[in-house]
Amino acid sequence: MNETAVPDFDREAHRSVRERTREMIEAGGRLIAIVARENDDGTMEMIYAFDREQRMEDIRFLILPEWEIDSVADLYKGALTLEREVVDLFGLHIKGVPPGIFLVEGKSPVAPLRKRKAPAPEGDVHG
Amino acid sequence: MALEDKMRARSPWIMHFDTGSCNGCDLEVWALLTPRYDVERFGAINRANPKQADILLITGPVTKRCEDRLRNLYEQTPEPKLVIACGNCASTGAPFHNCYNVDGGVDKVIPVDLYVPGCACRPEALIDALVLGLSKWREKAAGTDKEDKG
Amino acid sequence: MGRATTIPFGPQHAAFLEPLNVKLTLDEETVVGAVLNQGYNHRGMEYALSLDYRKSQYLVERVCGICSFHHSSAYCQGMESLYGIEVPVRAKLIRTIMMECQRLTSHLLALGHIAEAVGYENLFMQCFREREHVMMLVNRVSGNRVHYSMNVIGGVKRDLSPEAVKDVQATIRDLRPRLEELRRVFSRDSTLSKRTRGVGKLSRQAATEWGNVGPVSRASGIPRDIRQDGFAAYSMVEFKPVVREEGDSYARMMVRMDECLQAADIIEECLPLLEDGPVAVQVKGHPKGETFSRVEAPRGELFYYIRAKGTLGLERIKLRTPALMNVASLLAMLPGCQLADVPTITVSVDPCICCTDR
Repeated sequence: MNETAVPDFDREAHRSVRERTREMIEAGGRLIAIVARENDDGTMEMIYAFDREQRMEDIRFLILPEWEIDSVADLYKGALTLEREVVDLFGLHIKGVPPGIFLVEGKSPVAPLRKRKAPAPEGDVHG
Repeated sequence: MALEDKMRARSPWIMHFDTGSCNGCDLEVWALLTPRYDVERFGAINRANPKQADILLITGPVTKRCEDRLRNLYEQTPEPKLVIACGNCASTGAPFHNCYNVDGGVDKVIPVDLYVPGCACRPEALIDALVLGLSKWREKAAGTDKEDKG
Repeated sequence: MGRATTIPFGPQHAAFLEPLNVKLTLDEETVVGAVLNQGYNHRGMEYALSLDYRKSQYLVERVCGICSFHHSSAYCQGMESLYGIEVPVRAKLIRTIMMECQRLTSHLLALGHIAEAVGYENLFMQCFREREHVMMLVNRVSGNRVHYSMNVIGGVKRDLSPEAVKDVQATIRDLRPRLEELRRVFSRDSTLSKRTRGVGKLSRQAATEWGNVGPVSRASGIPRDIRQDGFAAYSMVEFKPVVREEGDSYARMMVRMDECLQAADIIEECLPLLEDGPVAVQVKGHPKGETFSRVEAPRGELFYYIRAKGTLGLERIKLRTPALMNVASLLAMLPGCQLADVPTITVSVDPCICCTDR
């Protein structure tokens, strides 16, 4: 894996997240979950999964972990918990969303689900 | 043994605290308190107040956020007290061993008197632990009594 | 207006089975603000589950003890769609029966807790007594009381013997009049109704905005039940989601009560459909690809996202548990209520903190 290579992806896609979420909600969609996932090239994929007329639909886009993305919590109140979870577990930045829903500052590892920051097992290995 | 200790051994009051368990053992603790297994016939009542408790039933591996709470509750419980770690998680931390937000078994944080195995631990095993615990508790009470007399 | 006071509620509280902390701001006896403080049960399941997908079959049940079988069903269902295999019909039916048994235990637990929160100790004990019949039934069928360990990727590990089928039939038949009796108490008892009617109202609009799922949303008039999508064997049975319009604690309680009877119906419908046949198919190799998997757990829609890359470890596994959404909506229900109603409202959404925090 070449660390210095700049991954090629649509760098503007994340800006329309609010717009696309609003469209989805107006069309009768219900936000189920926000899934964040790290790619090997260092980009993060965000998946906003919706339930619309008994089917799954999603909004996806790629971001770099340092970027700040817009919050959809004012469009959809339930999204705040989901966003806080992403902020906590992946160390991402979402506008106006504080960390600390699950992790305890100073005790828990920072951004535990990020690949490069995966906690090194102390002593024996899991399993 | 003082009279009050004798009486206390006949009505050990329980406090249950979940330090991060999957709820499996908590269910069994509640099954213990309800009609089928009913430990109230031995005088045990569930009290959510540590100041009134004699026996602490702790379920689950200790998570980082619960650590201080658990210590706090333990310190608030008056002597002589008994700590029972219910289930595999509370005993050793497995299967959440090495999970990033878990400290391990209850004994990493507070001293434990009895370990109940099982995932989830069965109510029968818990009753056994309570009975064993009471004899241990009597010993403890006798010990503290001696210390008090100097 | 008096001076606002802030009091902590939990994490160790008589009304809660599990650690949850609600910081309440009070004006005299009225709650004017609430802040949820969770994470007491956060163990890091998503990290642990992604280490080895075969061991995850064991670990996934330990996400939550109340809905363990639903968790493992959702996980296995997701993995099966990655492998592209169809589970034998008998396995689907067994999964459905066990899921409904677990729904019974879970709802009876929730109902018992509501009864306890309003101070009706006797009814609490009754609920737990009936619940114990189901617990012993699953113990006889699966060998375990809490974590059934029956699911594997590709089907179920343990078949229902003809004796077990008879056992299930007899137990449910005996249980039904008891459930009906309980329903009579829950619906007509004046104490319960005074403590729960109009308490913790959640409008349909609010339930949509907060993304509520399961009995909480159905009590607010949203007729959505993931079981209608027909996962496992739900496409083979007839049922209609239980919906109520009131949106208060009473409605949430009654939805659960009616779902208990519905669960008994579904189990009885499934049993005659059982035909001899295999209960599992073998899977080969490591899974690869991406999938969403949903089941209707007792508390509502349980969502799994699994992405596998053809190795022992999974690239990402994400769980969205129903309690996460329902617990968050407490912030909409608590403001305006009386301090004495806080336990009732909190328990009426059936908070499952080990699911919420994982």
